[in-house]
Amino acid sequence: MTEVVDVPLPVRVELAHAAVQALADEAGVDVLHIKGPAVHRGLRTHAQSGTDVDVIVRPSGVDALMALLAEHDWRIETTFDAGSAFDHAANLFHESWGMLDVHRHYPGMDRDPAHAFERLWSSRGSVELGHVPCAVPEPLAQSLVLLLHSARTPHLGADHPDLAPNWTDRTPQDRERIRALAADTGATVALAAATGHLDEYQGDPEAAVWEVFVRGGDRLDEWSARFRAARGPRAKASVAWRSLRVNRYYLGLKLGHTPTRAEVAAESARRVAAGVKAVAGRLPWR
Amino acid sequence: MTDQLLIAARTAWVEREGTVYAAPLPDGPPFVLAGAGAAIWLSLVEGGTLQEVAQRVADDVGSPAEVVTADVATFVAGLAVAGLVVRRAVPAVPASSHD
Repeated sequence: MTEVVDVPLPVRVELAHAAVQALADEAGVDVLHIKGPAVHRGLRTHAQSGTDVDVIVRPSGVDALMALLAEHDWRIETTFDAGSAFDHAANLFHESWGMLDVHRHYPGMDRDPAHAFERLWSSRGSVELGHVPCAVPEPLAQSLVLLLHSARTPHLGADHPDLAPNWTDRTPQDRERIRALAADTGATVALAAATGHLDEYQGDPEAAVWEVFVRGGDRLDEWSARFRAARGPRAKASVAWRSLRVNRYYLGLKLGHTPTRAEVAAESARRVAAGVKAVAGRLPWR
Repeated sequence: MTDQLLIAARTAWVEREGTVYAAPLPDGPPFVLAGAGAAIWLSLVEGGTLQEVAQRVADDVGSPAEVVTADVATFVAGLAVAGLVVRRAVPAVPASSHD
């Protein structure tokens, strides 16, 4: 018997799903496994075994699960509010298991995360990963999750490979059921972005966010759209503040070491300056 | 009483192309069980006494059970130390009960 140093990545990912499920059970927290080996075979594209574990957590259980993950040597690489403009996932790393994305809500279904989770949970299925039963969304909900993900990861010059098995090749009845699920989880606009119908929502602040991903744009475009889509002064202020924060993890990757306070401060100043410059560059009188 | 061997409840495992990757949950690490190790693991899946497991391995590799039993016992002991296998004592079934 040999302790593994070269476990194939797809195997490691499957075992990691089982490890996360074990901790979710211990914490008494509901999680849904998405992407990679959790996806129904007929809905996967190419060699889609995944490189990390993705789970959506019932929002009320996020703190308990994150605490237990930390107790079991999962190291936080990026916090929820330091990753994407959606604030949706924390990235963690474990020496035995590799990378894990904990989603406290799913981009596109983020208007009422508790309701969206309950909707997915109420129709869940189960799949054995590493011989451990793991809860997964039903196949139609898996398609919606994959479609919403594809909307954030456009394939230039071609359709996203997830589009065909999860939308184009599905029956009209299936597409109608996916639309209904999207409506129930607040993901109508995001689904439109994924399926090429975003024009139908012109003028909708939420559509502006997805427009950046579909048509392309820089980080300033993304944050500007998030600002317009945020509902109420507090949400808008939060977006504005977070747009200027430095992501220590990515800065560390760029520098090749853990950034010092001075380096974080310098990067913060650079971001503010870059933001001002980008805004100034778009002023009409220039 | 007789010892029944079982894969531990908090264990994840995957078999790929004849190799078994098994890990104690929730912390790991994963272990690789290749060749005879994989054969022993797969013989453990349905549980049983050491003799029953050894017999399955013997059938699988085409050797007499008395030849493989000692090696199976040593390997199973290692799996138990790693937390991947547990022993459960159960009352021995009297021979008359089979009548």
